[in-house]
Amino acid sequence: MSNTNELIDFKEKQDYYEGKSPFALSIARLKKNKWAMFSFWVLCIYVLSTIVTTYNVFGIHEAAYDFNIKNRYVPMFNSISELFGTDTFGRNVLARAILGARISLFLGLFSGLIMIPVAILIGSIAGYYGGVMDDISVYIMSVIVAIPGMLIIMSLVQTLGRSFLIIAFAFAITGWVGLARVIRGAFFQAREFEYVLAARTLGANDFRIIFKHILPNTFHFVILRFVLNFVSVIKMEVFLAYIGLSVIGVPTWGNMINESKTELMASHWQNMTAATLFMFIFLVCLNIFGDAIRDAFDPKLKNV
Amino acid sequence: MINYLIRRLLHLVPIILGVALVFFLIFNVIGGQEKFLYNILPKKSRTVEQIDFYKHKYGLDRPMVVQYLDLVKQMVTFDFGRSEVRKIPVKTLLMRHVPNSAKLTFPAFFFEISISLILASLCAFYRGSKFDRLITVLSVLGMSISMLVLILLGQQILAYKWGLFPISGWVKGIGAIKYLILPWILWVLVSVGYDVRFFRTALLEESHKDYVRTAKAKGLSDKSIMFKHILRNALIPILTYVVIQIPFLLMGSILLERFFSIPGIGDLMVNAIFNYDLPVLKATIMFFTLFFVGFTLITDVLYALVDPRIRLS
Amino acid sequence: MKKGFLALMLVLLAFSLFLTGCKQEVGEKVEKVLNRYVIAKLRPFDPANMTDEYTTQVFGDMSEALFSYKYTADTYQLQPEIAAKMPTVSADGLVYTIKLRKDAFFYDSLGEVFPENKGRAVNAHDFVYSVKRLADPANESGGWWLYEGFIKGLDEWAANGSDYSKTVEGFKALDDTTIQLTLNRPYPQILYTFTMSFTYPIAEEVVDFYGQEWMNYPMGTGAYYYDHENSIPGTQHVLLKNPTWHGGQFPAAADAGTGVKAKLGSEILAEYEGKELAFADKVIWNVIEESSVQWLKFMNGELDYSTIPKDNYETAVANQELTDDMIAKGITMDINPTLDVTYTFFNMEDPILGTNVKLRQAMASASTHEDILDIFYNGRADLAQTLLPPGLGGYDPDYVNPYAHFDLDQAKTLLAEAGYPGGEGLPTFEYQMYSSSTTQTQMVELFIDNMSKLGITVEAVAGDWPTFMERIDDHTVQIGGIAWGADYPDAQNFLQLNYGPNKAPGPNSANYDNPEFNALYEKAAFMQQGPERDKLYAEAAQLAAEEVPWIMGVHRLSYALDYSWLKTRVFRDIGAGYSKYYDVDLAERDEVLSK
Repeated sequence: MSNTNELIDFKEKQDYYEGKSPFALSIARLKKNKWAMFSFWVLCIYVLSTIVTTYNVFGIHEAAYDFNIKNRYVPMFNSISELFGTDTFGRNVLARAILGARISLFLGLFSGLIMIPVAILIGSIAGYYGGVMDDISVYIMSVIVAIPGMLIIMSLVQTLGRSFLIIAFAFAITGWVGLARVIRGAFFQAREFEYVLAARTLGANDFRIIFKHILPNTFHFVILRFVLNFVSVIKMEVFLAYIGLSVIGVPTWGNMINESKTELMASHWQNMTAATLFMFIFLVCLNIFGDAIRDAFDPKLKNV
Repeated sequence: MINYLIRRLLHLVPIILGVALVFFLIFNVIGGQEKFLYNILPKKSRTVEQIDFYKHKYGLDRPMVVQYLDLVKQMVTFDFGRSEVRKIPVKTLLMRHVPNSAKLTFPAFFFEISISLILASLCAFYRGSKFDRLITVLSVLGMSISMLVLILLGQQILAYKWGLFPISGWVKGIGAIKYLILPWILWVLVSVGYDVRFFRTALLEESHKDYVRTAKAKGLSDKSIMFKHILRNALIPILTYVVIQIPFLLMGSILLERFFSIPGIGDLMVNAIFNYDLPVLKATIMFFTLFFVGFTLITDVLYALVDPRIRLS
Repeated sequence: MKKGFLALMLVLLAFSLFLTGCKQEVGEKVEKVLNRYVIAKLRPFDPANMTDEYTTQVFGDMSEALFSYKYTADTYQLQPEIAAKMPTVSADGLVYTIKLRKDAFFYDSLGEVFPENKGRAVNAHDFVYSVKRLADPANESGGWWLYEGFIKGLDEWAANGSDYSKTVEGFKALDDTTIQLTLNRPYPQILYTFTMSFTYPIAEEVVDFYGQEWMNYPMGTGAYYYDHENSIPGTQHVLLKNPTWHGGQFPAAADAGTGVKAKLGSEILAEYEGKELAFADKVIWNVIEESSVQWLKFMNGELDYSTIPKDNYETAVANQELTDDMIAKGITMDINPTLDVTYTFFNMEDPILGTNVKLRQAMASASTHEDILDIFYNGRADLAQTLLPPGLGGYDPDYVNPYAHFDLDQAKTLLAEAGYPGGEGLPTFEYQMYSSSTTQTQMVELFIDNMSKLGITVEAVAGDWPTFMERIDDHTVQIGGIAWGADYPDAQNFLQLNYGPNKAPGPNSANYDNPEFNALYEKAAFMQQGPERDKLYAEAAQLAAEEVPWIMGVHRLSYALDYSWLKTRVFRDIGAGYSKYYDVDLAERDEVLSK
């Protein structure tokens, strides 16, 4: 979706001369992308639903959790409130799929919040100072990359137990390396930039240079990583659910898909349809939005 | 060159120490060794003496430092003994399972890369066309689908309902292909999206470069520019991207192996984690580490050979 | 380009069809193949450690024990297998003399240990060796608890360095075909243990020849032998008919139990009576870990029978009925009781749960036993009243446990009497889980839901099997749920679960210790069989049941689906080596599958 239209290039140049910051320019570019904005609003709906369903609106918690044995396996599209029917305990599959979004968002958010500061810290220190600091950081990164990530995650979840925090934590441990590398690279380049050298000669301290002058240049990497992190976490959750390492007793998309494994034999498609649909839409929107960010902030950026 | 290689190989030592430390932290400090005991203790009846006996037998009553050094020694000598659960030498197990995984993943990877390269070149060549858009949309969709869902649907519908493929199974030798086709297709479906997007960007980026303009100005046809110049120059990022994934292929695909009864290493790994079969885990990790470091080295050397600006220093 | 992709898929497809086509043309040899399955990877073929059902099933087709269970009887009755006849027992019940048959030969398909393939005849020393291996601590045996303390001199032998050249007073070979067993105290259940895979004879030559690898070379005297060439560990184990097997006949129709008669029909029984055994030429044990795959393969006719995946009965067979599709394929359902009990135990050493019997009774009454039965067992299991399943001596069909059915009012009253009206003043209890399978998770969810209706808060603690075991041994599990399956058909095997001295790390996970119960158990467990003993068993079981160290679960039923072409399969909960009785009608199979 990189845009090579000459006219737009021209317009951007104009904006540039009018004194808009590159960041504002990128945002403007992002806003022009219809699909990206559409995905963005869909994502907003997911976030909003997560916040709303923290409170028990429309009795959604009862619908998703309470057993109603007389009402098992209601087929799909029977009624609006039970759009996706009910599962083996007569729980509302729609409600569970909606609550599943909450867990996925939590996982993505927590792991992002753990991973990003670590990546920024290690990446920037390594890239800015170089030398021994760099060697140590690179060493740590190579060790973590040299162990299959899946194995670290599974082992940690298995030995520490299954909870949101541990899954998020395990995911962050393997996930920060990619971002840290990119930031380190960006810092390597930026060190030599004139304005950084100027700031340094003017006597600005390292802290100020890092946070004020260089880090903002890597901002889009961070955002992009944060967005795409949701994609990886959600897919990982499905995998963990399948091998029985996901969070217990909570509706998650992974757990629902895993339950559907045996239900498909008797043509009970409720769990499968609802969870897959909710997850698929969410992931598609994340991917489109991520692509758009990439294009908007740096059309030449390849991969993080 | 030789110096460089030796130096890079020396880097392996601290990495092995580090890998051993991570492993040790997870399984000896956080837990795992003790749990492992409970896997081998008789389930129906246990005695306190038995527990102590096993603790001693597996050296869990030794100081942590000694246990760590022991682990390092095992990793360096690649002597992991026998699987605690299956009682087979770990080396035999690896030799038995890795080729099966390779049979699954290498051809799948080959199909994946070829298909993606073709699609991406076409996209780049006809950029902006309907075809380009369609493939872009499809690749985003492909990136968003979960392997588990795809497997469940594939087995249920393609294999069972329509009878196009066998449901699952494995035989020795070439006959295994008929069991591998569906897994290959599923593998390609989930991974092509990422590749197409990456390759397309790499190709497009190359097509923005000055020499392409020069070539155009010279009046060369689009086709010859695409295949003679762009594709060749974009080969470096593409090759890096491809080579760096190869060690991961040896880890197999856990989901595919489990659902299609392929006796590969991914499945072995999951079982080892669940049974706390530490010798197998250690060996798997070590095996992967060696391959990974080796392939990184090869990539770097290749880079230097292809691009004279990069010096091996 | 989409076309190109499609084309590629088509090429692959064509290729696959070509391959399948090839195979059918080449392999045109009429061979009776029996397609069975196990749902977990097999462990090594080491009898001393054959603790799992699946390895036992496969190994059982290749090996034999001294005794086995009669195939067509409804209850579990012993018959001699390698033993020539049932043993003679001394008057005090301490000395057993067992005579062996002379025509049971080890079969070595590779010809490495025994170059002629047909090895030597199994003898008394092989059995002595096997029992010693159980006792030897170096073997980490999972079956030692069966004999620990019972056989004269064996414990001492193990404690004094396990020297295989020394004889053990209590288990010795009088000559090549005679074993003499001497016990420390009466242990009437011991004959059952000689059917178990732990006691399968091992030829010492095999161990000597292969060294540490010997457990990958299963060798026995059974009706089948291991096909090393075609077996792929982890995917399928192929067994072939043993040409040197001593032989056997299908049991007489008159000996069949009523249940078996109903299952097979008297025609089949009459037809097969006296037929030479080992009907199938080849038994393929598929290793299928995914229940969905197991189901698809069965429905596709690639397995001859299938139990309904335990994950979820309801989903597999909708509305408890066979679908039209299944009926058209000639599939029948076979339901059988199993010798087991599921239960939720309280830690009796817990300061609150352990001391307050009314609290436990309240919690048991608040459990929706009937719903559990409906949801998880399709309504077709028996609610457990005591820990003894039907079919064992001591099971009392008329007994009704007042705390083994759902009664919320009674539960609330009891809770008030316990001193915690409405659950006030109670801390949050922890329910320790041992797996995160769908079934276990759902069961725990239901339990928590039930307790919350009583005002009691229970929290699930996730964990795997080793964690669960470790915490039980530390006596720190407050509430947990497991099941016990019979090792042998005697009530003592179940009652020991409540016996005080068997506290964790023994099998008494609830740490229940009631002197009255202990006394009854000690008295009854070592009496010879008879109505008097059964009365004591019943009394003990009911005593424990009403003190509620456990919330009773169910005695499960086994659900299996058979294709019509599988002629003589009978459900057997314990024992192994039954493949030789299964017959397959190939013509019928082809006919059904071609439809």
